[in-house]
Order: sequence, then C-alpha cells, then structure tokens
Amino acid sequence: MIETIYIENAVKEQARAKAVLAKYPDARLIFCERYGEVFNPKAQNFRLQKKNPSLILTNKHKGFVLPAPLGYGIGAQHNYYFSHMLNCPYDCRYCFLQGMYRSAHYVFFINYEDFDREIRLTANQHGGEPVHFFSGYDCDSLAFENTSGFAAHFVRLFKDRPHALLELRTKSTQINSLLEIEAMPNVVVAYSMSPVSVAKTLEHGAPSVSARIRAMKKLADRGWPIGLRFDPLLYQTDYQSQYQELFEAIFSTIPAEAIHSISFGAFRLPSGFFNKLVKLYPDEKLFAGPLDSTGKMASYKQEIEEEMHDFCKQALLTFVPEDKLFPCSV
Amino acid sequence: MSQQYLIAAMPLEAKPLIAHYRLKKITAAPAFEIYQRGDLWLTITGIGKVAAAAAVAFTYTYSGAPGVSSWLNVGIAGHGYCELGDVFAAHKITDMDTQHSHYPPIVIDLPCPTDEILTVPKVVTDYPHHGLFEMEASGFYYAATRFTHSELVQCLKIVSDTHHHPIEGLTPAWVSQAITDRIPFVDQILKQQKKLVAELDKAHAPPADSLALGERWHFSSQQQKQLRELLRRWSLIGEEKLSIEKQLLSCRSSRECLQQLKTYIDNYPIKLGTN
Repeated sequence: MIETIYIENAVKEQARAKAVLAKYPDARLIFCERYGEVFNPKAQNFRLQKKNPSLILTNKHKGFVLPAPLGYGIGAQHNYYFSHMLNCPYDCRYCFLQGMYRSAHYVFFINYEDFDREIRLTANQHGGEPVHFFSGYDCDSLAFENTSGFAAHFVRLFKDRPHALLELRTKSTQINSLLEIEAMPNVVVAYSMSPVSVAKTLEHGAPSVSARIRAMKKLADRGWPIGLRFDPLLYQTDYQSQYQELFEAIFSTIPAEAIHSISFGAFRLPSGFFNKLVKLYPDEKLFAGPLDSTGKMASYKQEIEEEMHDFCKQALLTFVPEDKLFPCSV
Repeated sequence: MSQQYLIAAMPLEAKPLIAHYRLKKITAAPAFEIYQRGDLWLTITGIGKVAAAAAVAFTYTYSGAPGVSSWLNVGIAGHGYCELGDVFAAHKITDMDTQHSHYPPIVIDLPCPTDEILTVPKVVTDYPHHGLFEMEASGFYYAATRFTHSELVQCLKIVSDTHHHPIEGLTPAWVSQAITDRIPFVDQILKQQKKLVAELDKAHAPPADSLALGERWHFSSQQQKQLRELLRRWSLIGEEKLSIEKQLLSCRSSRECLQQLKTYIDNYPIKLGTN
C-alpha cells in the first residue's frame, strides 16, 4: 500500500502521473523539484525505510538504455538493460539494491515514450543481429504492473522486432496484462526462483514459490516463453536437496518445451554493496555464511561456488538440454 | 543505551513536556537548558534555525550517548487558513532563506496529518504560501540528521496563528494548554520512534564477548575488529557457547587463534531456513 507519493513539479500534469495518482486517491501527495532531493540524501536508512516506502513519480532524462553488466546474458552478443523503476516492493535480503541505493522508495520513471525511442534506436543499431533487452535489473518487471502498466506498454514494442528480445524478470504473479494479449516468442517472462525455505526466510513480501510456479504455468499454457533464474544460488548445508526439490517442483508443472532459458549463479555482490548490507542487517544469518568480501566482489569461496554450479548444472541437465543453460559467475 | 531527544524553541513550549515526562533540569549543562529523565532528553533551543541546530549538536555531544537516537521537534507555527490548535507533522521542510528542502521519510504511523514546514528568519504574519511558518525546523532537521537516520527525525507543529487569529492575540496560557492537549501526539511519535531505535539496537548489539580469548592474548585494534566480526557470525549460525574455545586457547598467537576461528566458522554447517 502506497501512503505517500512524491511527485516532481515537472511531471504533475502528465497523463501517466495523473493515472497513477488516481489509483492512490488517499495517498499523501508531496511535491518536489527533483527526485534526487528525496531519494539521495545521505542520512537515510534503507532498513527502516523499507517498512513503509513511498512512491516517487519523475521523468528520466538520460541513460534510458544501458549496456548490460558482463555475464548478464542468455546467448546474445548485444545485451542492454533499462529500468522504468528503481527499487522493488519485495524485500529480498540478498538483493543488491539495498547496497546500491540509500533510499527504499520506489522511483517510477513515467516517460515511457523516451524509453521507447531509445529501445527502437538500440535495437536497430546492430544490423539485424540478436539484441537482448533486460528490464528487471533495478526493479521487478511485473510487481507494480497494476500501477505502472509497464509490460502492457513495452511488450508491444517488440512485436515487429523479432531480432530483439525482451526479458521481463520477476517474482510477481501480476500477469494479467500478459494473459490478455497474444504470446510473443521474443518476450521471455523470467522467474527468479529459490528453494521454499530460502524464499520463506529471505524473500519477504514476495509471492510464494508455489504461486510463482502457478503463474509460470498459466503463462506457459498461453505460449509465453518462460525463463528460469536461479540467481543467486544460496549456500547452506543441505542446498543440494533443497535445489533438487525446487527443480522437481518446477519441471513437474512446467513443460520443458516452454522453457526458453535458465541462468544460475552463486551469490555475489560488489564488496562495497555487501559491506553495506551487513551493516544494515548484521543480524542476518545469510551474511554469516562462508563469504569472502576482501576483493572487489563478495562471493562464496571458489570451491563452494564451483560445487554449487556443477551440482545445479548436472541437476538441470536432467530436465533441459545444455543449450538452454547460462551459468553466471563472478 | 539509545536516547530520545525532544527539542523545543521556547520555555513556554517546553514546560508542559517537562512536566508530563517529569524531566529534571541538568544544572551543570552550559549553553542551553537541558532536561532529562532516563533516556529521554529535552532541550530549549531559543528562537531561530541557527539556535536550533546548535542546540541539537550540543545536546547530542553533551549526552555522550552511543547508539542510535531519535529526535522530535515540538512547537507552534503559523498557518494561513487552518484552525487554531490543528496539529501537523512535517513531510517537507523548506528553508525559506536558501530555498533548500528536506523530506523527512515517513515510516511510522503518524497520529496527525502532515504538511510542509516553511522555516523563516522572521515572524511572518501574511502567510504568503501554503504551509506552516516557523523559525527552527530546517536547522533542527539539518543538524539532527547528522547524528541519526532521517527516519528517526520528526517535527510536530501546532497551529498558533492564522489570518483569522493573528499572532498578536497569542497568549502564554494558550500555548501552554495547546501543547498540553497535544501531548498524546508527542507520546505516540516517541513510542514508535523508540520501537524503531530498539530494532536497530537489537540488530547491532555486539555479540557476547569471548572473555577467555581476550584474556589469553592481546588483540590489536584491527584484530579486535576481526574477532568481533567472527563472533557476530558465530552468534548467528552457531550455538550459544563458542564450542572450540578450548582449542583456540591452545593456539600460539592471536593471529593463529583468529585463523582457526575463521576456518571453523566457514566450515560450520549453515541452515538458512531457521532464522
């Protein structure tokens, strides 16, 4: 529930802003000049703010489409990401956003048409070679669909661009806008999945694993390509049986033919982000595990990471062919 | 122990709070009038944003309290068209001198509506903008957020003058009664702030120290930091008692002790689903 909405004076008359405000008629409305005045101040505490985040409505002015970080891909050479939102309504304890932003408020960039223009330009830059666009990097692609209409808007852009692929990365069950339209082979709905015990303990506010599987099933039945993202893989003593159970639960419901791609990678974060997470949540057991944050990246020890990769790869190969697997590493 | 700070500009605004919370004057405190009982402090700042900022900084330093603190500024303010006695928390504080605005994050369940506070250098009687006109909040907020998280800093203002009720008609008795009547609002905010502070305090509580290890070797300050971090990890994944303490005591140096402890904790079975 959104109780407070900050809105930049420059966007308050825009139709999309008005449509959002109409969805929250009881929200406290606070005007600002630039969203950074609210989002960036130093003294904020992400942990406290996550108890009651506000929505910030603004326009994005540059950097609409950015090159994806290395290792963030599912087979194409040209990978980009774009973020219509910063932050996410879920509170996953491993999420790097907690380390990246000072604020837990949801920043919603409402100038979709500027994103459209940049996506078209970028898609046309590569002479018809496959270009992949990832949308769930700084937020969950579908979690705010009822407010943002994000998928309903952006999926259309890819209809006439078969060489371009859109990944909607999510844990959300808000899939109605996709179920209402014809499935597109170049729009992948990619679900982030964790074993049940991990999801219950660390993915606060996110739909349960079984709810995500049900949502995937509905989408697969309608012909939407499904992505599976086991990233981060989290280490615990019995992780093998936990992940095996998860894989079996998924593949007993979702036909292997519906799976477009599977990526997996052990927990890793830039050390600066990791250290900030530990400061925010020193009482979190996840950060007491066998992690090393002395280098640029915080990650499990190499032998643990390799063991987890090998196990997951072998386990997944019993369900899907190797060309659908995309391991991620530090 | 964490502290809670009340900040008021004038003795008139402070007196009902001092009486309600049975605060005692700290006679030894120079510069500002400071009152205290337990972990609750109240400082009378005097008029103006500079005085407010100075008082916050002084109070924080004077109290010398480690840990997370919460801050609440209580006072009166003018408003163009509200009813006398209406009470508001701040959702935006604009310094009218600099036009710089602060946005106190609202994470607690506020007991009253919110509005913008406009901090002005002189008394305003024509109320040229929408909002609450007063003279301290921007200095208070700026200073308090140097010492704690912005989610733990709030301003509460009671409307004392309007177009229909000019400031000239304001009496000490009215101010005193207005503050007294709104103490339940103050109380609700203090209670919720205290809850947040307690959560952070609990999360950051240092792990039980292994006295035996400290007695056995001298740890450098860097090693003490490493030991604390290892004991924090152990407190989350292990049993209450450091089960290899005996083995550690037989190490030849503090360095070897830390290495053994790290190896032991790295290899200790971890179960995430039992938080």
